[in-house]
Amino acid sequence: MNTKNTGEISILNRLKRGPVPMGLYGALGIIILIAIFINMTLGVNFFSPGNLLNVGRNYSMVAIAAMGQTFVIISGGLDLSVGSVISTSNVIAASYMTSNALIFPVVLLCLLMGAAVGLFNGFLVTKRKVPPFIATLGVSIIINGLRLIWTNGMPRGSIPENLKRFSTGSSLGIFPNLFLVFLVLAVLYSIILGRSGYGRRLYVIGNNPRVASLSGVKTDLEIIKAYVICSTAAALVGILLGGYTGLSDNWVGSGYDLDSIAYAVLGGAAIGGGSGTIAGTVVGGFIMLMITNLVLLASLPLESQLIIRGLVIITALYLSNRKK
Amino acid sequence: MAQQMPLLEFRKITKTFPGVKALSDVDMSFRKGEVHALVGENGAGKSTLMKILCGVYQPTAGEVHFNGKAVGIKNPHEAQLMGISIIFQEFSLINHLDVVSNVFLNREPVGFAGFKDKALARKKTLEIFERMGVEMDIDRKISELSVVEQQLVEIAKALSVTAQVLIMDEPSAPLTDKELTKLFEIIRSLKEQGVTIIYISHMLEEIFEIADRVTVLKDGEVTHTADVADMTKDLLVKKMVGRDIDDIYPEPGSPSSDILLDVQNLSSGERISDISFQLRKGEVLGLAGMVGSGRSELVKTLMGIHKKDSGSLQFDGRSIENASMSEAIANGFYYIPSDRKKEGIVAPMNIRENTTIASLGDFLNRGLINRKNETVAADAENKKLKTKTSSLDEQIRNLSGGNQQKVLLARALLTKPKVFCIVEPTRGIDVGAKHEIYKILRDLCEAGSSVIMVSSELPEVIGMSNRILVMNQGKTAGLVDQAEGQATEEQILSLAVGHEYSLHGKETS
Repeated sequence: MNTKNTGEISILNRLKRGPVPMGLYGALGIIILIAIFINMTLGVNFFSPGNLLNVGRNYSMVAIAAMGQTFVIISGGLDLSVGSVISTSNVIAASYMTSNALIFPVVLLCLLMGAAVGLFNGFLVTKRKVPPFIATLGVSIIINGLRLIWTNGMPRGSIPENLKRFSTGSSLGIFPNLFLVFLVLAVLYSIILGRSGYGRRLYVIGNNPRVASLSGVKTDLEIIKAYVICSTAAALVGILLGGYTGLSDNWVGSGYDLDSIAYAVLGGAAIGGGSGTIAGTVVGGFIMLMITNLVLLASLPLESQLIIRGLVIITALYLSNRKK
Repeated sequence: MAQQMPLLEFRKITKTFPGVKALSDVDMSFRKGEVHALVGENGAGKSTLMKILCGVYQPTAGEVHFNGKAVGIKNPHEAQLMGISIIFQEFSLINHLDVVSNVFLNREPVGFAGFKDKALARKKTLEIFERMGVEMDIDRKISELSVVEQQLVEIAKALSVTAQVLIMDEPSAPLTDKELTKLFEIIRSLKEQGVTIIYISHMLEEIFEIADRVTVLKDGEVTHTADVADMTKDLLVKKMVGRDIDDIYPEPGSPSSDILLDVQNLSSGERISDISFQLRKGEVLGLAGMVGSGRSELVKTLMGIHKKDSGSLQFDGRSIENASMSEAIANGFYYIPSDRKKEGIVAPMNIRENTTIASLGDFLNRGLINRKNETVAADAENKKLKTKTSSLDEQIRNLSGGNQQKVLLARALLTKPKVFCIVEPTRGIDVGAKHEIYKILRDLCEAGSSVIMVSSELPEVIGMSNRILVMNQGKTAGLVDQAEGQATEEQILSLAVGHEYSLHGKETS
């Protein structure tokens, strides 16, 4: 027990550093131990198929948004418009997908809407030098406003059967489709960030934008791409959520901005740019989710869940800053 | 006057930084109420000496005597209490506050119940400006003032703590001639009131106009102190330089007479105006001049970092724009700035990644990096330049300055630059690595590229350059071709400070 503890501390110290945030795996281990402990003492089963399926779906949704967010954070920014894009995409999907045949064109429309928002965010941040926090917050408020005017506060429409079936269904026996979508994107994004020229340039920009531009990197363009990736991922989440809930909801995306940032930061992405990985965000997010879920299962009040999540984020940031 | 006890004395002041001796046994004395000019090349130790006087640095050895007593000045606040104030080149005023608040920033007189006594502060501020013989609306905001007015506020701020010694670091740099006349008036009136003024300037004209005495610093040592009345400009220039060029510079090679880059009438804002020159294939063109003369601005304009207002670039026989950095790099230009830490290395990334940033496109296969090719290329280039490192996976921040510079050179060379601009190529680098870096630059020229080298170290400029373009206040002050005989430091320095120099009969501004 003792050796394990000291091991934990030195590992946590490295949270900020590596492409593989070792500390997270340790933290994950601890949480799983806690889950087992709760299992045995309180008699609720975290590992029940029902709960795992539920957790898996929820996780996949936030994690897709968080992986997009990771690109923006690495570039040195922050995207607070994720939630508003999710909600808007959801409402657009419900409004126009009047039949199964229209699923594909409307999916395309939603993704284009997301890309356009990302383009605008990126434009404000790079060409107009608006701080990312302000730019994306402002854009988020505008999008919410536009959507409410359009829907009169009462979103109409319905989700076609095929989309519902996809979002709620499973493939390969036990894997929820939403989780598989997440998995495919995780692999894709990992390759982009870790192996592509674009990923390398993004890390250079996040670490030292001046060096990037002196090396001939079109920094503005690359940063805009990060915002486009992030918003497009959010738009996809909005569509999938629509299929999952079967509803058109004006506020389905609220909370996703901060959750996606929390996932990425917990996974080792430093606010300010230059570090963070998809693997980190995936594991960091999973830890966050388990904490939330365990609090629920232990029948603690919802408020304590908020407090614990806050504490986890602050601790993660504290550890990564101390490293600097 | 001559027998009077000095107000302030440096006695055997020595200051060493890790690996560098910035000041060595400096003896200097300042009389009450004199204007004492301090001159020397960039890096001669003037700033270090003044920072010791202001308590920013502590001397490694030696003493500062003030009013006949040895004093240890531990921090700037103590210096201020003793009456020693400095006016830096960059002002420390707060733009959105008014004049009074700036003069008494953080030292507002306290009145009833601990509230700021603005009325008293106003009264005192008015008194100071009266003493300076200046009319000033003390309720205006700093942002509404002209540069010279801002400088006056800086001086008032210094005087508000009953200054006995006032240090002015390049005060004339931002001023017009008319404003300079005004500044001199104020200096003279302060002098009559017994304030000692230490005047740092590159401009010899000013020194002869305003200073009583002058001290020359060179390589951290005092080489000369004299009454200005006993000096001539030529003598002063000679005292500022006068050393042999070390044999650390490789042979100058034989550049062809082909023109690689023809720059005509290049102007950019206030920074540079109407610059024309030609860069020959295979030559090192040195850009010399004082800090602020527009040397690095010229390079930045060539590279598309500063927008050019007018002028044309003919490169390899075709007209090019270089409107942005990426366009310049695509055209075969490359630029290494002087600040390695801020503008060179990507500290948390490793040597391989740092080496290939600028040439990443060469290692991409359908958008993905071919790690093997990348490693081979980074390894080969760093081996060629003899970068000392245990592995390419080492973070670049763990390397010494010289080795970091080599990685940056490797990064540049991988882009196969035709026009290679480098600023202060050997700043903060030890002699051994310096020689290697000179060799790298020379080899690049042998391979048919051309180098534009900005340097503040005259021996380096003379030792490395085939031709030297000297700049002064954003304009060309002269072009020295070393094929017609080796340039002298006097020659370049006098062009750089705008002092007419008879040799070669060059016209200067």
